[in-house]
Amino acid sequence: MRVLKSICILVLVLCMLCFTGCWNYRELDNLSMVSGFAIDKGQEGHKYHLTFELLNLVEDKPKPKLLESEGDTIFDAIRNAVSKTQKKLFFSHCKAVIISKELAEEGIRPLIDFCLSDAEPRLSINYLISNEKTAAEILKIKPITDSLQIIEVWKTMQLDASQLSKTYAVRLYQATDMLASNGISLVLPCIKINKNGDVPITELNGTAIFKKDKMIAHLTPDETKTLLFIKNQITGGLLLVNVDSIEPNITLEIGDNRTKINPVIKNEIPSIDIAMDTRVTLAENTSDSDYYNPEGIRKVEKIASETLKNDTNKLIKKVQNECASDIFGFGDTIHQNYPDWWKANEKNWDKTFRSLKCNVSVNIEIKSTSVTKSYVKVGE
Amino acid sequence: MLNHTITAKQAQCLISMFWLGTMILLGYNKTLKQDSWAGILLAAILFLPLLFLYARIIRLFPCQDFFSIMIKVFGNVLGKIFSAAMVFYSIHLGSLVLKHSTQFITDLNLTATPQALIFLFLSLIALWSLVHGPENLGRLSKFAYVVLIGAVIVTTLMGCKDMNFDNLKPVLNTNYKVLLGQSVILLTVPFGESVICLPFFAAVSSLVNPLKVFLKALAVTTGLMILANLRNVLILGTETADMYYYPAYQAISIVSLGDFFTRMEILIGLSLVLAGFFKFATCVYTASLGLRKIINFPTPQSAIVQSILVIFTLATMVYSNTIEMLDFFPYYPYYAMSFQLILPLAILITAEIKMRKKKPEIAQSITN
Repeated sequence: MRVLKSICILVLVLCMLCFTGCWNYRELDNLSMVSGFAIDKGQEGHKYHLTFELLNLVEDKPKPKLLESEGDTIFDAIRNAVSKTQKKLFFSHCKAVIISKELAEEGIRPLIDFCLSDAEPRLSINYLISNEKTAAEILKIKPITDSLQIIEVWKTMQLDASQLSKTYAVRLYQATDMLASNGISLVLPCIKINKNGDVPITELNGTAIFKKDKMIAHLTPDETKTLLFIKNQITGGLLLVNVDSIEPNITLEIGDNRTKINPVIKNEIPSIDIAMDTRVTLAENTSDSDYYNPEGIRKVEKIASETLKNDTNKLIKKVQNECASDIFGFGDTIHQNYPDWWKANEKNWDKTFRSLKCNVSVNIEIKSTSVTKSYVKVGE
Repeated sequence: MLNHTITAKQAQCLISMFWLGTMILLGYNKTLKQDSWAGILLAAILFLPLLFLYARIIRLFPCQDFFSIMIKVFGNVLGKIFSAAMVFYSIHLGSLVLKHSTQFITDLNLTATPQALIFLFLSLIALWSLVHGPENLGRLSKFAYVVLIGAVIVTTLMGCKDMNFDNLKPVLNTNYKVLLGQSVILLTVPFGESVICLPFFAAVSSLVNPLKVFLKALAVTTGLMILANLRNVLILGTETADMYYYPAYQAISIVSLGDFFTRMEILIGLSLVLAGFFKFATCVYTASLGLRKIINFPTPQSAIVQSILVIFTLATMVYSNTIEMLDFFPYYPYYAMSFQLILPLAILITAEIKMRKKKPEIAQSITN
């Protein structure tokens, strides 16, 4: 019995060793991890030119390597890379894809299908649009703190979205949902190259607006912040207010924000009520007046609310007039709340959106004035 | 002394696992979109009459397997013909389940592994657990059940921060005719398929109330399926969920807890395949039992081996690609209803009539 038992255990252990795992085993040192890639227009007669950033796992410190490849489809270009490297490209850890502006203007749909339908890349990948001539330029910049440029960009984007709120980090599955829905248009973050002293450096640069799958316009980082306010995606960032001056002199740090979008349909004509409820901290006062009293606080609150309201109205007007693309998702909220109206008028939404009336109300509350109770005084 | 009976709890777990075995395909309803949950709920309610029907049959013939009941009720010839039909249904369903569980593995994880190899291992485990008697499967399911419930609840909780509750709106905006039609499909897949679980009740003690077992299993399964559907729609959104064969897997692939706990989708993969295994093994058991009644196999083991071989072979050619797998769904109710509703109903009516006509005779044959 004891012998039988030990044989049984041996067989089970052997089974676990031999029969678990996959048919085609892949060792880590035979794979090239792709941290991200850039898609440009082809140069050698092919449709697409891809630049991959690879992670070489053999050395102690991961060093980025760039590999370029061409193909008529994205997958074709990826497979063609096999003829240039001894290791197979592995996409499970791919963080971001950068697309050149030129391709984005022609249509983004053919560029995202591979990452959606292949089993390796993940649905949480971020897509970015390069504001430079090519997307590959972004990868060629030397990162400041990380060893991989794509990881640097990706982490910067996450931080920006949560602390600065001047970038809308759209993940792939969110992008496909926006792309497919009739009541909301796609937006993707943009990136450009700037100078840091003498050294070139990448910098996030607002948002690209799409109509259907074609890029048609661009929002500045400040406009992106207003967009995030409307989309209820604000988690941090600053609000600059000019109180009694032409230049901004008061800095408010955003604590939390809640935006409610309420569609109203009156006589078959829709309008949108946007209500923002924001809590802020008075974090910096560069003016020479004292606002640290109930009246002063109320004054700052009022002016800040007015400023945000104006910014919001300006952005909505701009989008309505210049691109007529519903990036705010107003159509979706109408669909969600008035499905019957939406069903009847879905086809005309583009036209309706252009003349859609939006009533913005902003309520900014200053919850604290940080650790000081007075501004910096200068003696006579 | 080995205990050869299945307890009420085990039977409940087995039925639940059997139903959840198709969850791979039911993570999202293409037609109902954000109202998928309502379709499942309605299907569960529509299933109640069938549930009473099955429970009544088991109640009428305690401790007897489904095929003996059929032969007893319809006579030797007609009973065997109906048994053969039932065997065909279990073999077909078994091969469908084996195929889509395997397809799930090869589509997402082991892309280069031949399907036949995965068939082989699933079949061997089914064979191993079944040759020792059906109660084995009951005991196993009790453990797997906890894993599956845990996986669904944990992933749903972890997915909370990625959920967008606006995805559920507009609530119940589907045409009621469409909703009803989809519910009928959901009734036949998976709820009505539990007719294949009936032979297991031969091993369940006659003291167990089958109605209670079925009702409990139905409550838990419906709850889990609705939870999983809501999770998928809330995380992915209707348009993205619509694109995928396995939305549950894709939804969980997004979820992470900090930077450390990522790639939870393997948990979903594991539990879905686990449930698929139980469904497959149940089909094998039912097919083998029927074969034994029809062809008089010398031992139960040889019948199990034969049915596994048939299911294995059928699974390799049951459909040629993944799109065909889902294409079959709209026509399935017409085919399945004859086994799930008409046959049991015929059994019950004939049995009730016979019972009333010659009460003593039937009573005697039951006690035999």
